[in-house]
Amino acid sequence: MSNNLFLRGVLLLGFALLMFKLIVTGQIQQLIAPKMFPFIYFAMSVLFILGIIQIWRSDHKENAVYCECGHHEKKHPFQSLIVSVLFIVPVITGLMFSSQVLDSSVAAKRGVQIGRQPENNVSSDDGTQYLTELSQNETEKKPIEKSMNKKQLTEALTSTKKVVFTNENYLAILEIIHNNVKRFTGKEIELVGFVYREPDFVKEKAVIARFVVTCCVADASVYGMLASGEQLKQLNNDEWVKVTGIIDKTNYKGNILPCIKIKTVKKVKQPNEPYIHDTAL
Amino acid sequence: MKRAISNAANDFFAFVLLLLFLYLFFFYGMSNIKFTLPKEWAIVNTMFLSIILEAIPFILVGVFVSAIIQTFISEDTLRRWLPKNPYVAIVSAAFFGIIFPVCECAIIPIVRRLIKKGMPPAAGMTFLISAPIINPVVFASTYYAFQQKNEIAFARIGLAFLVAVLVGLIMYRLFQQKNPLKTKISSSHEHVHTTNKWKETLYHASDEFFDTGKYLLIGAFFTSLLQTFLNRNELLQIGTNELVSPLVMMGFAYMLSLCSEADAFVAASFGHAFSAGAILAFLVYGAMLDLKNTMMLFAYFRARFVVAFILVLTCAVYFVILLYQTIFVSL
Repeated sequence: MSNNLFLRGVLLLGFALLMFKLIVTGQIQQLIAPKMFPFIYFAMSVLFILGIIQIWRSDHKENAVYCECGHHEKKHPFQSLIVSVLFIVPVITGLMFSSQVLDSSVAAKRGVQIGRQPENNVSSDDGTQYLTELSQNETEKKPIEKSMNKKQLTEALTSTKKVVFTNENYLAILEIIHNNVKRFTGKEIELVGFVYREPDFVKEKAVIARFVVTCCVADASVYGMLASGEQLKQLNNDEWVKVTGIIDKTNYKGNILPCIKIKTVKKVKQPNEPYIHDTAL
Repeated sequence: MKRAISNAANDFFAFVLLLLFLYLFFFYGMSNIKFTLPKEWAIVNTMFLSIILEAIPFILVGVFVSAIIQTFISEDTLRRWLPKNPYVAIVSAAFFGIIFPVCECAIIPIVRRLIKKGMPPAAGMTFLISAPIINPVVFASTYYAFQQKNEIAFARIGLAFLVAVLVGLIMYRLFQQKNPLKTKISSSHEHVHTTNKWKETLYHASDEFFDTGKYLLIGAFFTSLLQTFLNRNELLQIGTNELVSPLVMMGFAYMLSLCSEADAFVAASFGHAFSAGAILAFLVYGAMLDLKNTMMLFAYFRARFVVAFILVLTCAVYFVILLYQTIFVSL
């Protein structure tokens, strides 16, 4: 069995190396959400240690375990070759091919959520009620901070003239604006995202969208805001832009939704962190 | 003699492989020679890597817990802990997840080990399907994803409990105490080979990592194909009818193979398109069974047992969802 042990050790080391390289080059960000990084560090260390132990074990035949625990059935050589290939392929493709940032072709297949609407009307009523109370009291201006809860954020947003999306607050801001279209109409807005158009969109219309990743890119979903303006004409799908404009209302498929009336569009480089991560958990 | 040659060949192969890995790790990408994949396949590759990197830490946890049980907990101890009455054992197994918050990747090696150690198979299957849902981590993420509609989080737990107990009872009626595993259930498992229990645990864990890992890799590959090429809008348009949509959502959850911690966020992104019943079908079924872990089940359990289990589970989830819809929609 010693040969298999050596091979297995090499494969375990291979996975540890793959993880290490992805972490060092920062590519891991395009695969896994930051909150899962500790698990990756843990897995990398364990795989590294196991790999070393396996290789060491392959040199000491007396240590081979023979018991009924179900691991040690004899396998046909062809079968074990297939199994080895299964483990070799991801290490090699992972080391060789850099990961692809998800784009509008994926977005089209998954469907784009325009805004983040509440599931039922009850809570949005609560929201408007809360906002009317708020407007009566006219709170003082509050800066928008990273660590705000939704209530504080709503407060801060209603008192500012200009709504600026951040990576940390992207989903929350989107939700608040879509729940309180009336309150936010007329406010200035600024956000960064990629251009996405449904097949039936005209050239002056687009969704400024971002992928939201919870754990890994397999669970990515797409959220964005409608935008319209002449300036969009020269932009293609997947181009990253920084958009400023005024929030307006529009009727989209029978729903009243906020829509950005574009003032300026600036092409920007794809951000280092292309995905939004839901950080609240 | 022949064996020695093949051993040498294998060692040589492994050594070359090690050099290749090291070369790719240190030098590849430094030079101008770089290969790229066509975009769609680059996305498949990204999905595939992302799914396996996400799953590996949890598989490792699973195989380590399994190895620790194997090495440190004797059959007698386990028997003393478990309730004698099979029905009580099934119902209490549904709550193990609260103490043992493991996801669907980690649970299979653990349950297999427990059954090998003498846990009644039916209770084992109840544990297997309840733990990925009836646990605090998953409850918290579901609650957060459905803030506007937090009854979903409670309903998910409640329905999962019903399904888990139902499946446990039916599996008990069908298979009694018959061994569902491919390998023998050990009556007195004596380890004579090593003296060092920790070393033994490590060996077991790394062997089991390969046993489970190969099925994870196959499952993750098919999942990444579906993740890349499947048009969800078309799929979601198939069923908006009360009877069909839960089935569509169950099939959808099966194919996507999401972690039970993350699936609630995906379900939340479906928005208005689906009824609460259909969303719950997605959340309950997907966490219990998917493409990725079906592969792992076939690795450890007899094919007949797995097929029966899948049929029973699918019917149970569908039945419970219909029940939920009749009770809550008519209210």
